[in-house]
Amino acid sequence: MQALQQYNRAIISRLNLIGIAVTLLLLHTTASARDLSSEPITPISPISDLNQAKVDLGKVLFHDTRLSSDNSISCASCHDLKSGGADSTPLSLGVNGTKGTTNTPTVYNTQLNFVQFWDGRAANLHEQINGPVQNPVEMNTHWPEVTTKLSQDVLLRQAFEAVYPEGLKADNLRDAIAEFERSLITLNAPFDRWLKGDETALTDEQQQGYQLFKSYGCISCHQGANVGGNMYAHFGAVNDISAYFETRGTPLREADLGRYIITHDPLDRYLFKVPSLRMAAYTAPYFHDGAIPDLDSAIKIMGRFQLGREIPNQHITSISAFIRSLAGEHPELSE
Amino acid sequence: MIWFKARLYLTSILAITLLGWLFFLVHDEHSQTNQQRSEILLQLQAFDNALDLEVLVISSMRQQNYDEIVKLTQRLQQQENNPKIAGLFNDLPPPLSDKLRQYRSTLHQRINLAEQIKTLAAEVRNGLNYIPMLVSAIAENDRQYLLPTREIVSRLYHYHIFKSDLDAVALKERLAQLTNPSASLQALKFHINSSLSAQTQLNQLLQKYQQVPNKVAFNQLYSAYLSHRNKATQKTDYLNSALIGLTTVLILLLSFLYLHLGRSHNQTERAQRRLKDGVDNIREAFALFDADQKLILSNRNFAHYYPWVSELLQPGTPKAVLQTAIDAKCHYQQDNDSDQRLVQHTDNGHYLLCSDNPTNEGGEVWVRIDISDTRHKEQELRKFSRALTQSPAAVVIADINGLIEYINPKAEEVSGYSLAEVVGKSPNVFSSGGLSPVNYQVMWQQMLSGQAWQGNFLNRRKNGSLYWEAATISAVKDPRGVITHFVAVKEDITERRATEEQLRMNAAVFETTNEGIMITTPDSKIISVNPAFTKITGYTQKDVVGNTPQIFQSGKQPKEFYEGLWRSLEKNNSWSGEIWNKRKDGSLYPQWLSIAAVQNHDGLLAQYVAVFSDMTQRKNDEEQIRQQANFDALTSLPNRTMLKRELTQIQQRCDEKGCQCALLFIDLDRFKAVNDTLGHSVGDQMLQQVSLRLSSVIREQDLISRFGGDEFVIVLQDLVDSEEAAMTAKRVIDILQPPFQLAGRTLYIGASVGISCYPNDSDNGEVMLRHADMAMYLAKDRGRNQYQFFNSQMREEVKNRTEMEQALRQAINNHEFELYYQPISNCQQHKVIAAEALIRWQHPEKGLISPAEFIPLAEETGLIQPIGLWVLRQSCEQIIEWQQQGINDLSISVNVSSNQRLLGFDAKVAAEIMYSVGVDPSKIIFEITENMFLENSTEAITWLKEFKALGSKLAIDDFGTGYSSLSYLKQFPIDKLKIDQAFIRDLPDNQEDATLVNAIIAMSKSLGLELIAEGVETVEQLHYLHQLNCPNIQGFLFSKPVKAEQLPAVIQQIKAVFPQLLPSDYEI
Repeated sequence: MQALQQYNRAIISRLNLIGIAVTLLLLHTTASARDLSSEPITPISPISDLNQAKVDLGKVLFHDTRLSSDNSISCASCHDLKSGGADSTPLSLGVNGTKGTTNTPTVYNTQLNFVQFWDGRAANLHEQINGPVQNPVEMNTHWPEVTTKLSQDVLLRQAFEAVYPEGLKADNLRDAIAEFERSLITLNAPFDRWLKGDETALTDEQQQGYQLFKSYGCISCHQGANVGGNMYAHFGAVNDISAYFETRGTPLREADLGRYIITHDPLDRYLFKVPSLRMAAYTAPYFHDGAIPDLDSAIKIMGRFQLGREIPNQHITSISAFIRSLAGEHPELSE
Repeated sequence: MIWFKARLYLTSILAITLLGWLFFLVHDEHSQTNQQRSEILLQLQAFDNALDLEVLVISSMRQQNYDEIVKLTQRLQQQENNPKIAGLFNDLPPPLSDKLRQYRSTLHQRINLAEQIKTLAAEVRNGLNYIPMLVSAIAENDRQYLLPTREIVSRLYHYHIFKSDLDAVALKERLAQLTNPSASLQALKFHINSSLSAQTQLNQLLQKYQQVPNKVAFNQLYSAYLSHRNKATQKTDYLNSALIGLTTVLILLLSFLYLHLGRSHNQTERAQRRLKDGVDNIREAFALFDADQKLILSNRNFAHYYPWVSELLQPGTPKAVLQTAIDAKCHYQQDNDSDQRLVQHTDNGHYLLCSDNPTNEGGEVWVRIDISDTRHKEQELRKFSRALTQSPAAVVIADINGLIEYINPKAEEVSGYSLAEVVGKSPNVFSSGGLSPVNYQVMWQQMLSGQAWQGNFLNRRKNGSLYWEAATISAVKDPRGVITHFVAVKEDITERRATEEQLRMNAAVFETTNEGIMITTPDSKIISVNPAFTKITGYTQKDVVGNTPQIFQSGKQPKEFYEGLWRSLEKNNSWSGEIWNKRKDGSLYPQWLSIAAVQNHDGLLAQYVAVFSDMTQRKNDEEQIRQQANFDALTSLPNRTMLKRELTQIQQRCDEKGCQCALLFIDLDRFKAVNDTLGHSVGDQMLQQVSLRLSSVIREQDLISRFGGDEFVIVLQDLVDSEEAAMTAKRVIDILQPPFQLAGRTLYIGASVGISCYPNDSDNGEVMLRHADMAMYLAKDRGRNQYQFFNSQMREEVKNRTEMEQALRQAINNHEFELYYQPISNCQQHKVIAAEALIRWQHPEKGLISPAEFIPLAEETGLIQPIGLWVLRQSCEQIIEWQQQGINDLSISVNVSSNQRLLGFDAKVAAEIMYSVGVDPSKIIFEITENMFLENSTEAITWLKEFKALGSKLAIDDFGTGYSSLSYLKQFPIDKLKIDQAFIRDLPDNQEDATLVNAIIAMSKSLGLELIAEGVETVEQLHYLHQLNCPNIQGFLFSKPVKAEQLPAVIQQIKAVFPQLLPSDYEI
């Protein structure tokens, strides 16, 4: 591709105006001929089967602090929809100021993830919602309490009765929130547009970044529509990750062990769900511990421990530029 | 039979239930569920295969991304979580569900392994991806190692392609031999090692993956499931066989039933035919209905009786339908006999006796018997019977012995006896006892010979009263000619005789009344007239009979008048009104005519009766009254009343035509002198001459009227300009200039004329008069024999007056009036004894307005009444206030005008005010003016006396200015006289005034009246009056009128000043 462009540039200078026109025609045909159908990253498609009434209810609940024991925290407290669907702290604060154990991931595009949580302990969004609600360091409550509280809200109760035959019940609360979260997909990312043939959607640097992303092998794990989120990978796949934890400055915690906490299989030590890079540009800090404050450092660390390579800064900048092209649009983001 | 039927039904029900149950069983063997289950199992297998494919592609590094496998596993997960699908497998036998569980567990194992494969495949891929770069680095930095590197790398790729563990071992050994510390070489070593171990792990995982016994598990599951299904299918087969058997049994049963029913049906039909035959041949009509009220059977006569329903006479026709159809052409009567059965009278003239009876089954049977013949005979008899009962003639039937068998209701009514009372008795009961002029012998002879007898009886009623009867008696014979009964038909002729009497009386009235009566046929041909008619009209009966009343028409009434008359006659059957008719001699006369349309017994017009009286005299009287009401008796000119009415009409005419008119108000000059000196009769003659002269100067369309006294008004119509009015005014003045010869003298008078125009000066007749009057006064002021148009200056005055009137009304409401008090001092007591209350009007804009300005207006407008009442009340309240300040011996003079009297002010009203305030009436002096005496009426005297009776005092104000003489005063209950200031002003120098005042004082003393001198301003005047023994003084000398609050101080001051003004040594 690059070669083709260089060739084009080279001959443009030598040809007269008619030549330019002919070349432009040529360029056009060659450009539209590029085949992106088998790229490892695919565009995000819109969701067609959303139940809007449930989405609306879910949205209300998503912002409802009554889902926490002291009515102080809602889902949106940590998953700030305006700033990438996550917060900017390494570990979010729960009720009474307790700190969470892992960095808050974005809530955008989560339905594209094959499992939920860093350690994949929830198979889907319904299960995932139980986590923060019941986690003592997050919302610190339980469903009976939540339903009791919410049932006192006549309007909400009526709204639920209008949508769900069984009315306001824990299952339906989860369902509504999950439906709302399902609606949180980002569309029309510059990269997606580029994949669909809009060549102007990416800058040269971003295109170059994508090439580097593939040639370095990042693409092996960060692929698919969500650019990640569809497999597990060992943190330190190539190089021993102890070096990372040693230099992190905080002691090793249980959460650092990854999927091992769930399976207790030695092979699952430091095994994490590969996170989606779709909103990565907006969801610093990075990694499960939120210890890395900027994207470039994260890319560097990934190269070192996952690929066993030191990626030069120049390449990191390009890759970083490419990652920024992955973020799409959503009404909540712009609100 | 019943038992047989019951068994039949029971068997059928049992068989059908069994059949249903079997169907249910066959159907219930969830063929559908089984199909769904199979599908799910097949889906699982498909998933299994798809997973294999994905894992294969992933492990061969050919997969670009993992979204496909994620979707795959999510689908499986969804399937497992789907409660509907889970439900399908819930009720399987345990061995089968165990198999399913086992198979699912293998799937999960494989998914878990696939996850690990995904992770490792990524690592392996990246390792392979990096190797060529490392080789390039070695080629650049450590060329000497390029050869072994190439070898190692190619082995590595060999291993990756063929996946032989031997190759791996060899490669590791080869790597171990590379001990060069070169960084790039170390990196190569590290990465190849990583790659190798990853690939090895991957290989192991793949092996594990392949070893998962998913195929076996599936086969076991599927075969177990198939055998389960086969069992179910077998059971269904059994059930199907049972179903076929049972159906066969049922068909046999039905065939049997059919045969049985066929036989029964034949029997029934035969029985029905017999029945039908039977009922067809009876005389009565017959119809039978079943319990559902449907027709089962009807006979021939039924169709014969009701031919219009023959089409409906099919078995199965509902009773209600048939009934309705029958009822459409007949109506019901109650039968007369005691059964109370119904009789139908059909439109074709038959009478059918109905007998509707319920059957045991719950149906109904109808029987109809034709009773037309009997009915018709009955009818006949009933008619005669009715004729007898309703006959206006009394009928008495007696047997051969002459004993009464029957009397009809009329006979009962006439005689007063009831049938029961006279049955078996002789007709003698009706006898008056020999009063009837009847020869009974002849009567009997005639009757027994078979002839009818006729004659009149005078009979006696049960109540004793007598009545006349005209009777016809005849004998009734049986077929053999033997007399069986006598029938007497009698008519009460008492009333007829009375009517004849009445007619005779009416005729007498007709003959003798004073009012003319004329009777005509409905088409207005005269039938009869009475003598009064002849007297009034001159026409005799002979003259008019056969004519129509048109011969009387005077021609004075228009056509419409007669149309109205006829309309009223048609609508109300009467008309009355005034009409002018013509006598035989051709003279016209008014008559008051009443016409009545007389109807006969049928309400049809029989005659018109016209009754009328001659109104000539009454007319004349009316005309005279009108004349008196509207015309001046002296001059025969329209009077003031008529003028005002005419003015309104003239004004309307002006408005319509848009022209103008003028009103000339004429006042004779010096007429009063004529009247006073030569007497009224001469005055009257003069007025008559004046009216004649005035009439001569006006046009026909103009109106002249005597307005009153010596005032005349001329209204000129259709004027082009006001100049015409001026000319007429000039002519009026001129015509009155020449002398009048009256009572042997030559008398001169003149006239002043005021003119106002409509619509320029005024907008209605009343105003026009007022304006002309005003103008006339101005003319008079300018000298005699002048005319004057009403002008803008006058208009201004009128306007001012109107405004002032308005302001005056408001003044009352706004309390703008105030009372000032001028003290009246007594020279003997040297102190103030009274004060005159004088009203002041403090106008909010114009300031203080003099009473001289507003009192006349108040008098004119009637506002003097409320003002007067206010003055009185205010004065009373002031007295109380002063009394509270210790001033007890002060009276207050209050002015009362004669208008107040006319407006209803009297002693009663005054007393109410005085008592309500709490003032002793003796403290009030009512000052009246002389003009009140001019009227000299007894009413005025009574009115004054009532004030006196209260204890109040009466004073005459401004005495000397009017025409009243002192002697006149004797008749009036007066206490005081107030000498007008005009006589005081020039005292004592003016001799004339001095003499007059002297006379007044002397006279008043003789009459016992107290004197008050008004307007005393100088000490000289005081001394002079004092000298003449006039005790009371009012005037500026002592004080001008002051406000109420100032008066106490003024009283003190006067008391102090008296000794200086009238020193004690000053003697009369």
